[in-house]
This record gives sequence, structure tokens and C-alpha cells, in this order.
Amino acid sequence: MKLPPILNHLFRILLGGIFIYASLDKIWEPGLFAKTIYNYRLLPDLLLHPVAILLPWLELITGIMLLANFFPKTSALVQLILISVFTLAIITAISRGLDIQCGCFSLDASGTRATWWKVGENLLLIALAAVVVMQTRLGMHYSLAQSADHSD
Amino acid sequence: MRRTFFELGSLAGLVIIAAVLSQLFFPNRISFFTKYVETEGADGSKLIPAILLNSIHNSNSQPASSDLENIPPENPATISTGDVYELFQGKSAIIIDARDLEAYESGHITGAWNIPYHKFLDHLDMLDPLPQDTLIITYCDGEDCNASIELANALVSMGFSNIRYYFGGWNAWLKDNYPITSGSAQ
Repeated sequence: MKLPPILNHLFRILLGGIFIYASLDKIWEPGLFAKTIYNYRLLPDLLLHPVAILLPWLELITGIMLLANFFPKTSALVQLILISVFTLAIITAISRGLDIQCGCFSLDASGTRATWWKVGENLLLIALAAVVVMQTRLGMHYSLAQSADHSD
Repeated sequence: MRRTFFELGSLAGLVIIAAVLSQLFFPNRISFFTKYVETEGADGSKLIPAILLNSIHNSNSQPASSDLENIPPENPATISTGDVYELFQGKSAIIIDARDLEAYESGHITGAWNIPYHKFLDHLDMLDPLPQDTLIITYCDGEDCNASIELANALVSMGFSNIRYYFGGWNAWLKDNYPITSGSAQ
């Protein structure tokens, strides 16, 4: 089902904006972000710094790409994969009894904790990213069909 | 499919360029490779990532050798089980349990206060009367938690100058059969 273009744009901009916002604190404080990743006890220590440095930039750049409607399908797909991985990480942290900071947006000590509530929020984001991926895919076919019509 | 790979490649390239540039110019940069510090756990010394302490920023700048004598003592610094016990016996340090209330009530180092790290802003009234040079030791379960380090860092950022984190924590204390108490009395 193809959504009205206004909703398409709204969802794409919303998803891009959320990812840009989520990346800023992490880019500014990679050390704190590395600590947050460490608290999940999922990655080997050797990967803490590279992931803490690269991941926020991936969030920012895919966010900007979505806002600019440049590579929207691939950007949304990358974001969909990222949110899914983050959500799995939170679920494993909760199931292992870890009482840790989520590190999703703010890295402050008072930031959101990794809880089931956060998992619920992330599921909404996953749904949003999935809609954007599907709609950009449909939109691409639609514009290809349109350009084929125009060339006739 | 080819187009998707091209776009993924472009994204990866942009991310790497941006990350490299940020590491050149950002004030809060960290090194690309994880650095380690040695600390004492329940089973002897162990290496932990240096990012767990607040000593990582601008880590590429080394002090000149002439300045080495003027370097202040590390704060927060790690402390061994033996040293914690010595201070415990002499009642010459405040010991803070950084775990949550439930864990604290089920058993803690005798005389330890309970300030769960993620609720530490709710306990500022306990810390306010303390002089800034008070010797404070923080601990949590042990090597698998780092609330003790987080709380130690928070106390340092509040201005306390004599903070130690007991990395071996509750597990190391229990292992050596040192005095413990259960319940909520602080």
C-alpha cells in the first residue's frame, strides 16, 4: 500500500531527525559512549573504541541522508538494522539482569535506563523505519514507472 | 542490487572520513584502539578498558618528563581488598555500596553506605556534609559491574579529591570472609 506523499515525507523526516538527534551526544562524547557500550558486555573490549567512534557517525550521516532524501532506501534500511540490533542488545541486557543506562539518546547519568519500556519505544521506531524502507522502495518503483511513462 | 551496494559503499566511505576527521579535531576524542589500565579484581590484577576511568581525553598528549613529579595522585584510583580492609579496620574511609537497595539489603560491607549509582543525585544530602578530601571507597558486585567506577567518577566530578574504587567489590570481600551485614541500617 502506498501512503500519501505528505505522510511519506513526514515519516522520513521524523526518522532522520530522530537519528540525527540520537547521534549528537555520542559524537561529542565518544568516551562516554564507549563506556555505555562496555556496560552491555556484548562486544570484546578491542572493539569498544572503533564502534564508539564509527556508530554515531553512521547514525548522523544516514539521518542527514534521509532528511535530504538522498539514498533514502539504503539509509532507512541501515537505520532499520541498527535499531533492531540496539533493541536486541537492550533485551539481552534486561534478560541478564543488567541495570544499565540505555545510551540511546543522552549519555548523562540521569539518561534513560535499558528497560522494557525502552524496548517498546524501539519497536515503534522499528515499525517507522520499516514503513520508510517500504515506502521508499515503492516510491522508487513508482518514479521509475512514471519516468517510463514520460519517455513514451 | 548493484545500486544498493554502491550506496552502502558511499555511506561507509562518508562515515569513515567523518570519523577520522572527528578524531583529528574534536576535543573529546579517544584513540581508535582500546587502551587498558591495570586494576585488582577478586582473582588478582586484571586489565580493564581505560575508558571506564575519566582519564582518556587527549590521551595522546604525554606530560614532559620534568613534570612527572608534579602529577597529582590518580583520582579515582583502584584499591585492593587488603587496603580496603585496613582502612575498614581503622575506620579511616567512608565505604559506599553503589548497588541498588535490594542488593545492599541482602548483604553489604559492614558500615557501608548505600548510594546506588543511577540514583546518586537523590543522595546528595548524604555527601554534602563531607569535606572534599574525605577518603571514599566505592564498590559494587565485582568485576562484572562498573557502578563503583561510575560512582567514583561522579564523586570526582563533584570535587572529591580522594576517591578509590574497589574493583574486586562485594565478591572479593565475601571471598576473604571479611565482615558483612544485611539489612538497611546505614
